[in-house]
Amino acid sequence: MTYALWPEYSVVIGVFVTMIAVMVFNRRSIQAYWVGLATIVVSGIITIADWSSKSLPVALYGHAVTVDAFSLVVNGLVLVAAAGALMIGWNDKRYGPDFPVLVLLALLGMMVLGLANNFVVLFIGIELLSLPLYILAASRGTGESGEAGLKYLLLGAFSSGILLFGLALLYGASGTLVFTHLDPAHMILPLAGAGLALTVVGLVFKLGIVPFHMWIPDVYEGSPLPVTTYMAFGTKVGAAAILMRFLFFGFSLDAGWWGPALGYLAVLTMVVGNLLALAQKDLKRLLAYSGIANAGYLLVGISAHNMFGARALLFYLLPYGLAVLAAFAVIQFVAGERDSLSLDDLTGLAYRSPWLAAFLTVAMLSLAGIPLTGGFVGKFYLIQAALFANQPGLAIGLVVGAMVGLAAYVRPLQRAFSKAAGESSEPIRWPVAGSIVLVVAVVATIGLGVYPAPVVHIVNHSAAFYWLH
Amino acid sequence: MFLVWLMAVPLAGAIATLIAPKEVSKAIAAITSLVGLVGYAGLLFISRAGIDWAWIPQWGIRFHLVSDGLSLFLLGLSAVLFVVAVFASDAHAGRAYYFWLLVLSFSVVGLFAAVDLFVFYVFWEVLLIPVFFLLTGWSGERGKKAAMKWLIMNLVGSFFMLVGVVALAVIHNQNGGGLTFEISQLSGMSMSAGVASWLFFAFLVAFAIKAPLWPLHGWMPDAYGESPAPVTAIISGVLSKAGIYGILRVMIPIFMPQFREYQTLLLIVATAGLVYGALMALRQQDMKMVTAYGSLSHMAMMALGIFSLTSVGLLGTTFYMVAHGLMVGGLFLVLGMLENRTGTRTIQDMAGLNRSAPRLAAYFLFFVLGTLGLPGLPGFAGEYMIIQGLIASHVVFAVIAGFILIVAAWYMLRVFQAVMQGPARTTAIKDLWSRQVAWLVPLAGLVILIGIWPAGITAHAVPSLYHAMHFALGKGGVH
Amino acid sequence: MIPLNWIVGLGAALFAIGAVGVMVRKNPLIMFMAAEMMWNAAALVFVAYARSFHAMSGQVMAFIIIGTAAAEVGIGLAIIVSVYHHRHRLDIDEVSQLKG
Repeated sequence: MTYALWPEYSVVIGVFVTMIAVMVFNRRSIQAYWVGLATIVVSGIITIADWSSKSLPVALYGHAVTVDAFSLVVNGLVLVAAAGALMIGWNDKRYGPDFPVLVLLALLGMMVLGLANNFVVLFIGIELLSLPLYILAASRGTGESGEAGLKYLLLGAFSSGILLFGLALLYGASGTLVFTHLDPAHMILPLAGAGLALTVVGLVFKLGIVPFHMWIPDVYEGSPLPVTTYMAFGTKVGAAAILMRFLFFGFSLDAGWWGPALGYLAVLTMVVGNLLALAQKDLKRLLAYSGIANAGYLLVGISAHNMFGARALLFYLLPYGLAVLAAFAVIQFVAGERDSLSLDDLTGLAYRSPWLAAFLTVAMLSLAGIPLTGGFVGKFYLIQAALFANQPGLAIGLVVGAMVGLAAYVRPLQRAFSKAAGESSEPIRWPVAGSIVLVVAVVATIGLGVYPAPVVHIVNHSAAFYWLH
Repeated sequence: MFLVWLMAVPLAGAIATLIAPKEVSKAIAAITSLVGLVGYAGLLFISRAGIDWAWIPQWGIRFHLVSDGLSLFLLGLSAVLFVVAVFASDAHAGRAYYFWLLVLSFSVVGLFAAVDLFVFYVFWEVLLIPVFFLLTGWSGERGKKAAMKWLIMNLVGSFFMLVGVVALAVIHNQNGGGLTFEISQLSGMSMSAGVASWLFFAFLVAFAIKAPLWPLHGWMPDAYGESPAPVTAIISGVLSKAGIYGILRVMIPIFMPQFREYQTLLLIVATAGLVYGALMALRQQDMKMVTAYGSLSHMAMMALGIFSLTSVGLLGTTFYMVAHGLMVGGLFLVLGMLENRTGTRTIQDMAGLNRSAPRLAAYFLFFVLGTLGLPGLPGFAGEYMIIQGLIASHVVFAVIAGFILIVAAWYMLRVFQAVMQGPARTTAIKDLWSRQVAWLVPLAGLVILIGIWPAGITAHAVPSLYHAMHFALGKGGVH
Repeated sequence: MIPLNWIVGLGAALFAIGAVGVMVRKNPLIMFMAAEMMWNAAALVFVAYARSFHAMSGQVMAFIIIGTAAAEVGIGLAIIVSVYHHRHRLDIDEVSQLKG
């Protein structure tokens, strides 16, 4: 008897209970949020229990899904993302009553992506992740939010189409839907090459890699803040996890096909993403471009294609996500009733609210990769991976990107620490749930930077099995 | 364990400034830095035991700090200068100012004591942040620009150094030695010449930017010009030494063959910096900038001592770092007081101030004489050893350096003459208060002490230097 | 019996028409329809290969695609209608409060 899939089952159950809660209680009541949070906690506990069980890794449903240490780590990451998004948007009347339900549904999609070993499951995971997010992006109902939802929908459908056609060609070339049964040595070459290329393009579309990134800034800016947080953290985890699983399981021996191409894309993404971030005046857009650049960092881990790359990618997702949670929580507090925040609005933040300024500083420095924050350890691990793979170009590209990025991340801080023109602004409200997210994220960011050894141990354990295949 | 004291006390003080009311920030900082100084006395006289804890065992990273002859006196320099800087600071500078100052003190200790390359790099980069905020928060729009320049230039260097740090460990691992960042283990490992040259310059550029060494000093004029006097004293007295110290600590043990390969080039560039700094100092009308460019010239002097690749030259640099730090720190503080009293930094606007402020003039003269290398004061001993080393390796550069020493006397005395002597054209200023004398006296006393007893430092530094160079010595390279 | 390559070629043509449609058309409704065409092209290719392999797996995939497409249409039309309600015109170039 195995409880391998119970983290996912519990979320499925949670989705229904939350829906019932939305219907039974007053439509705008807080119960649905509590049920959603309880679901996340229960799923997290089961994930931890699974981690210590001896029966893993296990392949289920005819190799359709594989539950292993990797999928459990992905579970943990997306659970953190979902909890963060849910609590930042806690009981916020602006986002519609279905907010917790949709967060849980998207969470399910991300979890499925972590354990997919089959085209069908891959596709279901991608759509399960995307469809609720289309609605969430448009859930504010205002012009900008609807526009974000529409753009996300169109680009999402387009990229899913590319992905599907690529998968269809790969199916034709190999005759199987299972990643681990793909045998590139016996495939019809042009068909397989085209299929692989289309599939990877479809997936990097979801991850937001340059030159397939243009939808990200608009969608991030227009979406409601908690949703943007969720997309910036959770979607990246899901997309990076499935890209890694697909390439490492299906095409591990043929890294020559995709490794260099992804390497170039990674360098391009890191540099361009950070350069564009430098030019932004809106904080959400700045973080959107930062998200693009960070997707480039993640791609470094994939294209390094060694044990260190897999580990470094998994590790990097955590400090990145924590920094995103902290930064967006600060934006949410400062923006208050508004939905976005320009850099100028930050002026004098250090005098209005020193703690918020300090927390924003930690988040930004972590994104920039300054030591004693988690972001630095993550970048350090990625550089290690690139150099172990004998690809110094990737490492150099990473630090060049980080340099440009630093200038982008420091600009909001300079605003925050300079004196305001003099108008007395109203004090900033600290919602309880959002404050918990903020404090936990900041403490964890510093904790990861000061003593990363336990997390390093976990990711090393979870990525080690790849190379035993 | 006194190293832990030295690091933990400023950190605790920094947190205390955040919690305590704004009015007592300076008192907290003062007490903290004094307790730090007591800790340093313990380190010096009771126990010099280092610490060596596992940090990230999966990557072979150990939190390894030592206080050997190279680092011991630089730790002392920073302990002393931070006390002085805190006392010289404006009492109303605010909570954040003292917070960042204490954070800076914490990271400087970590940097000077680290012998694990990862730990070294962490503190190397961490200390950019407090300086950034010290520059950005307490001076005007130009201060912001200076802060940005400081951060960007330094990070450009250190990010490439980061690749170098990881590359060294990875190469060590590929050589079969396991993943480690311990400098003593990385020293003398075999690398292909091309890779080694790239890494050599990656490190050198990072260190040269921090020092700063010509032509990588672009951030220096703005940062020195815009920062309040205590911060300038810390930057030029302590932080600039970090660059030179990095070359001594990290590069000498690992890159000796590359030093030998590029020695002539390095000597030429350093000499160019020496001349450039001196000539720029001659041209300045702003007394703080004269000192800043003079300091740039002196940093080049220290680099020359290292690039001579002789043990006496390295020893001279080790000694000169401490001496120069004390003296230039004191000089910037005196200049700060002068600026506070007259409201200007332009030399022409001042004259004959020694009538109204004889004590200030005396301290000014003392630190001026110290920086220009008067025999009996420590600058002389350091420069003497460096030139001796240059004579042993390349006599041409020794001649140029000797000539520049004369120019140094010229530009420093020019400032003193213009400001302090001559007819009293400007309005009289207040002389030093007794409280200010109280912390200048120990500083000057310390300068005199190491001036007449340089062996107190060199005797400790020699074994560490030989330890650092043992690989090179094994090859019979250093005289 | 229609040769396999013809069907795959038809799928590729449909895919290309759909992709071009998404890229050149301005009306979100038409763009959405073109994207759906790309999905259906993929479903067609899956079924064609499944038949040639005498395997069920590709047909399963095709059914999943059709089902998901239905869900996507439901959501997509709702969003498009809500945007239409908001501005009473549909032109993707005019839906540009967010500058790219």
